[in-house]
This record gives sequence, structure tokens and C-alpha cells, in this order.
Amino acid sequence: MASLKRRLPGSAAGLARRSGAWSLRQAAKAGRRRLGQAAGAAVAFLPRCAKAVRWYVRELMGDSAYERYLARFRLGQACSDGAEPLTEREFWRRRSDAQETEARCC
Amino acid sequence: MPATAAAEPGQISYQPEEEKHIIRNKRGIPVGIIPHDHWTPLKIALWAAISLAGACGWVMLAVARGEQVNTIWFVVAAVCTYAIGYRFYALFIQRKIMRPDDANATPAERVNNGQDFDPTDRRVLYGHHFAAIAGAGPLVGPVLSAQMGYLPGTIWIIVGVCLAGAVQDMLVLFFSMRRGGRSLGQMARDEIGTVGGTIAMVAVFVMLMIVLAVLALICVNAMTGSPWSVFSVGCTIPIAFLMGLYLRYLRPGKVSEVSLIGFALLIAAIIGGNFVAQSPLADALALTGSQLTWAMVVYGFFAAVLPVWLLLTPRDYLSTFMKVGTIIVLAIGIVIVQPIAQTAAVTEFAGNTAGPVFAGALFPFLFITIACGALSGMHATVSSGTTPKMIQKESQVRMIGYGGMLMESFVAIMALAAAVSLNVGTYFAMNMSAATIANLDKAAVAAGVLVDPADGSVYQPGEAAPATAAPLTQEQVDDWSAAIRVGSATGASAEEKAAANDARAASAAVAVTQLGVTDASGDKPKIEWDETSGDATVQVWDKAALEQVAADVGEPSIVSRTGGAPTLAVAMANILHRIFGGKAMMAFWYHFAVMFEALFILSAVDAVTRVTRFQLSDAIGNWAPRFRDTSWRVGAWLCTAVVVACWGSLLLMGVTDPRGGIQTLYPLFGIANQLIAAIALMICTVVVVRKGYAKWMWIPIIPLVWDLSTTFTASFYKIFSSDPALGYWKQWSNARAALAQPGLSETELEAAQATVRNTFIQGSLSIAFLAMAAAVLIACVLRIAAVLRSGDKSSSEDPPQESAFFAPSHFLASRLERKVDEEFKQVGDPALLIGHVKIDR
Repeated sequence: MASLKRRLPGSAAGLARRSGAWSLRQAAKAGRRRLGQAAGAAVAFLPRCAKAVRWYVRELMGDSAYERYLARFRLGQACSDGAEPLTEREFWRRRSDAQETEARCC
Repeated sequence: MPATAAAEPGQISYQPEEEKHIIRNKRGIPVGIIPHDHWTPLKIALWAAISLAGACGWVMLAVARGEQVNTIWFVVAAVCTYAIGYRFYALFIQRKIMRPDDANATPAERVNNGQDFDPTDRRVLYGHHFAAIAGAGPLVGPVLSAQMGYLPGTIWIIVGVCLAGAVQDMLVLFFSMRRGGRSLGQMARDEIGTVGGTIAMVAVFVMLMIVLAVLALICVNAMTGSPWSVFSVGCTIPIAFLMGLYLRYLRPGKVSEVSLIGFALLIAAIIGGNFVAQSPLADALALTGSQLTWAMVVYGFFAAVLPVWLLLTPRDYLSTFMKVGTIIVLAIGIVIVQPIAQTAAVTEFAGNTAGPVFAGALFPFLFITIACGALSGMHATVSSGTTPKMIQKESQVRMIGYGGMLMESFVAIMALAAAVSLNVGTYFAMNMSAATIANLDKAAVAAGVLVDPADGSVYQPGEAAPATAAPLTQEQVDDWSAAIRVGSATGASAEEKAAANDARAASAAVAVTQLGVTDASGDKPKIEWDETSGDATVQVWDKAALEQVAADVGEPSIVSRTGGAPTLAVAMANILHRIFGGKAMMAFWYHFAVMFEALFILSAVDAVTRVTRFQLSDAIGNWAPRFRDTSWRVGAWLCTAVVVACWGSLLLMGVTDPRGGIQTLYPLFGIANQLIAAIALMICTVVVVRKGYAKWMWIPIIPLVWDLSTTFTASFYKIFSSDPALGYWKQWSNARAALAQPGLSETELEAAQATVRNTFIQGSLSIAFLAMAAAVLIACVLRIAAVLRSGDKSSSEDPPQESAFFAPSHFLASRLERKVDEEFKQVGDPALLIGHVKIDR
């Protein structure tokens, strides 16, 4: 039983033993600290989630198309006649004009 | 993608055990991982638990009989069965007949032009693919099938998707990918020859017209006589214009931003519709079915000839946004509210042809009614042509093709769960055509049903009834029919419309009592609804209940709103108002649901109109080359007009059909859609045999045989049945006989003439579909026989080309995959990394 408790890091008794104290108040304090750490981890996790969601939505809706075009252009692979890359406005204009004649699927 | 510190080349080291599993090309670049799963006790326990949970779900649905079947079991049974299907059957198919090879480059990697051939992250492509295949289909079919009870539909959706629909999507996707992303029509010509291929192309064109007509009919039925719906759905057009102009001139490329703005405007339009419905404008917006049909036709024409950036593209963005939103909202509703199924597991209508929603017994008509969600031919057009040009690795096909279809099936299951949790009486009152109601009322007169004129309550003969209740008379029934006719005519006054709605509720309340069906508790269906005023909730019945439903959802009437979309909207509102907003929000949720269904349908209508217009001008181009020039305006307009006229005339036929358009046209729609699936599966079978895997050809043949037997049987019934509920030609000869009789009233004469005309067209189309499908089938069988006889293994696949690209195979990357991914980021071709790595600004 004792070994089990030692292995469970979340239990107040285990916490208290590790911090070398047995009083209930200290155990509670240690628990709160731990809870604070968990909350901290959650707070650090949220921006990562938000970033992932933002990435997904932008990729799915196609916001990143111009950035991809620029990256491609810099690699010298863009289908462009000029030496300068298209401006963002020009790029989107050409893109929607190209969609005009292509048969899209349902 | 997890961001890690940039490492120097060579910094990533593998264990010898790991290196053994990495596939490298000749230059040493990692291109894939050899599957090396082992069964661990934990995995065995996990799959045992999934199987057990799934078995529990099925037992609760199929075996446990009682009044209380919780719809959460639908979700449990579905998810567990999907998991097993994906893990075992899809993997089996992958190993036996697909044999993906990650050392071979996909079309996206080969061409990589940053436009249509663009290697796209598998998770993003999954979203694209799902948004392309999902629409109104999986929401409508399951709702209609609820007349047979919840069990047949559930089994077909879940088992069907695992063995048929997902298999078709995955195989078509894979075979098209191995052929440079060729379309279904091109593959048909390559695999089964020019004649068979051309017939297949023509068949798909004709079938698409009927599909569009029925989709548009569903939309028209949801909006007829409803100022709120007409306003909010109509608003999607100016909202799309605004979004298009914003993207073109104000902030190009800010797609998510403009979609959010559009979404907010949509919500505002739904809320605003309430005020419009109560304003003097309401009368002008309460349009009749014919008026809406013309509006739809004019709209369809302009949507196809206007620049795409102005209407089509922005509406696609809105549609994608709404798709994700709908699924989340539906899932939350069903998981939290956990509604109880009100319909019986299997109703009487599964065994006879008396069902008022659509005619026909379980076999074969259930299997053509539920298409999307179990097996849908439309998906083959997406799985070939669009998605295969964007796929990064061959091993990702299972996740995108099979997995994407599983998600669609899940949507269908949730729609079914919502529909069966609706009060059975209300469900039928919404889904009976006016003609069916009039016929059932006639039966009620003969049966001696009593009606209380005070509140419209209906009493069976012998039942304790108040003294005011009097037997229903034929005069009363005729008065109702007359009031409905006057109120639905173009130019009816507000009083006449109100009288018609009153007559609709009264006549439907009587008609429901005459249905030969029982609900979950084994009783005759009773229309019941809760009326909330202040804090008190009382239960109301019959006519009062129908009026209360209409009042709750903010509609003048909900009777005879056939097509499935309004029923799902009421069911969703009934579930969601318990979580969000209470009764006051019910009308909002109803119109939210109608709005997204209309949005999906309108997107399909204008996208397909455009595509078929291109096909048509291409075909005419064989004789008049000028039509091939897509920038020639006159040609584009002419072809668009022809396409719009094709589906528009079918739509007008459905809207004005005296027997109810959905009941007569929906089977034709289902047959058409499932015949496209048959054509796709036949092509898959030919490909499998030509590849030398004749031993495994049963994999596409199982769904093919099932699909052919249901569609051919249904077509035979539709053509040859002497049951007037089923056979188009029987209906035709009956109507002709009626015309010959003397002394017909003007309305009877008109109805008989319309029936003669409509059944002739529907019967002819049935014959044409059957003939075309049979021709394609014969061409395929001949082709397979020739291949088997000659042992010809010549493949139409593109020759293999060495890949230099790495990406994980499944939604979540394994530890080794993440490690190899890091290495690929250092050693991979930068041009391929564009579509691979998130670019930071």
C-alpha cells in the first residue's frame, strides 16, 4: 500500500511525504502548488492549441495560398513571366480569374 | 506540425530496429515507413473493449425491446463499428488490392504545380475531401427512411458504409491517383472502352439532372409559404456578393476573415427573418412553390454565368464553415440531450407499400432512399479528379477515402437519430403530401372518426369523446381541400393563406389517425407537443399540437413539408433548444437548420450546373467547334440555359405534381444516384481484374451486386409493378382511364392530365436509366471476360516514378514518423516542403 502511494504522484499523502512534511496544511499547500503547475501547463498548452487551430483553418480555407506562392517563387518555380513576384492583390486576382474557366467538381 | 529546434543534418539518429522500417529512395531520402504493427496485450485489450462496446450498442438497438431506446446507442454502435471497419476491413483491402507503395510518387508530387496538383497535408485534405462529399444528402435520406423505423436505416448506414460506400470512395480515389488523377468518365473510357465509357458519361449527365431537380425540390418545399425561410435563405445571395467584393477589392486572400464575417451576417439574417416574418413584408415573401421554382431557375442560370469570385467561391467558403458547425452542433445535441427514439425499431411500412413518405417496401426502396451516408455515386466524381491530385503519399488513401466516408456516415446516423426522436404523429404530418392527406381523410370519414370542432381534436369511434365532437363528413374534407387549394394559389390573400394553414393542420390531424403504423410503445401514432406559456407546460394534441409546433418554430404551417429537410430542422430545434436557449430559441434553431440545408443544396445546384454546362459545351464542340471556347459568352449562356431548363422542368414537374413531388420523384433520384455508384464500382472491378487480382474481385463485387440488385429491382417495380403506389406506368394508365371518364371537375381534370404527363416522363426516365446501366454492365462483363481469357495484365496505371517525399500515413503520426519527418525537413526537396511544412510569416 505504501509503495502504491509513493507511485501515485497526485495523492496528497505522496506529495506531503516527498516534501518531508506530514501536516495537513502543508500537504494542502503542496497540492495547491501542484495544481498551479497543472494550470500553468494548461495555460502553456492553450496557445499551442490555438496555433494549431489557426493553422488548420487557414490551410483548409486557403488563406495561406499567397505565402505558398511566394515560397515557390523564391525557389524559382513559380509560373510567372516577370522577375518580380506578383503582389498579393494581383495573385488573388489571377487565381480567381483562372477558376473562371475551369470546370470544378461537385 | 510540432516545431522543434532546427537541427543540423545527420543529427537524427535511429536505432537499428527503427532504420530497418524506413523506406529510402536511391538517394537515401526517406519516403515511407514499412508497416510494422505488433499486437501487444494493451492493443488487444483496446480492440476487445471497442468490440464489446459496439456489441452492446447493437444489442441495445436491435435486441433490447422496450419503449425507451436511447439514441446515444446509435452513436456508440456506429463509432465502434467504424473503428473496426477502418482498422480491419479497410486495411485488408489495402493489403490485397491496393498495395500502396510509398516509394512511388503520387501525381501531386510528380507535377507539384502549386495549383490543382498540390501536395496537401493529409489532415487538411481530409477536411477538403469531406467538405466536397458531404452536403444535404446524408441529412435528408435517413430522415425519410424513418418511416420504416430506426433499425433498418441504422443497419444499412453503418454496415453499408463499411462494406460499400467507404470501399467505393477509397478504391476510386486510389485508382484515380494511380492514373494521374483522371476523372471517372475518363477512367470509364480507358477501362471499359469508348462505347461503354460514352454511355456511362451520358448516364451520369442525365442522372445529375434528376439529382439537381430533387435537391432543388427539397429546398423549395422547405421555403414554400414561409417568409422567414425565404428571407434568410435569400439573404445568402447578397451576403455572398458582399464577401466576393470584399475578397476582390478590399482584402484579397483573407478567406477565413471574410468567412467569419459572412457567418455573422448569416446569423443576423436568421434573426432578422423573425422580424420580417412579422412585418407587412411577410405577405409578399410567402411565395408559392411555382414562384420559388422560377426564382430557383433564374438564380441557377445567373449563378452559373456570373463570375465565380462574385457568388460561387464565397458561397463555397460559407458552406464549408457551416458544414463543420452543423456537425459539431448536431453531435453536441445528441450526446448531451440523448433523446429517446419515438419510432418503433421496425414499423409496418417496412413490409408494405402504404408508406406515405415514399412508396415501397424495405427491399429495395430503403437502399435507394438512403444513399449518401451508406453508398453514394456522387462521391466517385469527387474521389476521382479533385482529391487524388492533392494526396501526398499512397498510404494516406485509406485515411482520406475510407475515413472521409465514415465521417459522412456518422452525419447520417446523427440525422437519423434526430429524426426518430421526433414525435411520430408530427413526423408523418410533416411528411405526407396534400394528396395523401386527402385520401386518408376520405378513409377517416368511412371509419366514422369524430372531430371536435372546438379544438380540432380527433377521436376514434368508440373512444370517449366530448359532446361537441361530431362525426367527420365528406363535405368537411372537401372544404379543407378547397381552402388549401385557394390558399396555395398565386395571389391568395392573407386571410385565404391563414384559412389554408388552418385546414392543413385539421386535415393532417385526422389523416395521421388513419395510418397503418404503430410507434415505439405499440400504439397508433398520436400528434403530441408541449405548449409552454410562462412557467407552465401543458401537453396539446392533434390539430392544436401541429399549430403549436408551427408557432414554436416560427412558421405559418409545418404540414406537408415533405423532403426531409424541414423535418430534420424541427427535430434539431427540438433537441437543441433543451441545451441552448429554451423554447424561445426553437425558431432560431429551426431556421438555422433550414438555412444550412438550403446553403448546401444551393452550392450543389450552382456547382453542378456549371460543371455540366462545361461538359455540354465540350460535347457540342464536336460538331460546332466554337462551343469549346469557354470565353465565348453566347455559347456559355446557351449551354447554361439548356442545363437549367433540364433540371428546372423536372423541378417544376415535382412542385406541381398532384401526388406530391417527393413521393414520386425521390425514388428516381435514389435510383439515379445509386446507378452512378454502380458504374463506379463496375469500373473498380474491371481495374482490379486487369491488375491481376481477380481472386480479390469480390471486394468491389459485394457492394456492386447489392447495389445492382436494389437499383434493378427498384427500377423494375417502378416500370412494371401493377401496384399503383409503385408503378409509374400503372399510375399512367390509371390516370388515362380517369381522363376518359365523363363528368370530371376542372381540378380533377387538371390533376389527371398532370399525372399522365408526369408519370410518362418518370416512367421513360426509369427505362432509360435501366437501359443505360444494363449497357454499361454488359460492357464491363465483356471486358472482364476478355481480360480473364487473354490473361492481359497491361495496366492503365502511370508507370512508377521514384518518390522523394515523406509524410505520415494517418491522422496522428507515430513516434518514428515524427522522427523521419524531422529528417525529411532537413534533407527533402524544398519545393516539396512548401506543401509540407507550415510557413511562418
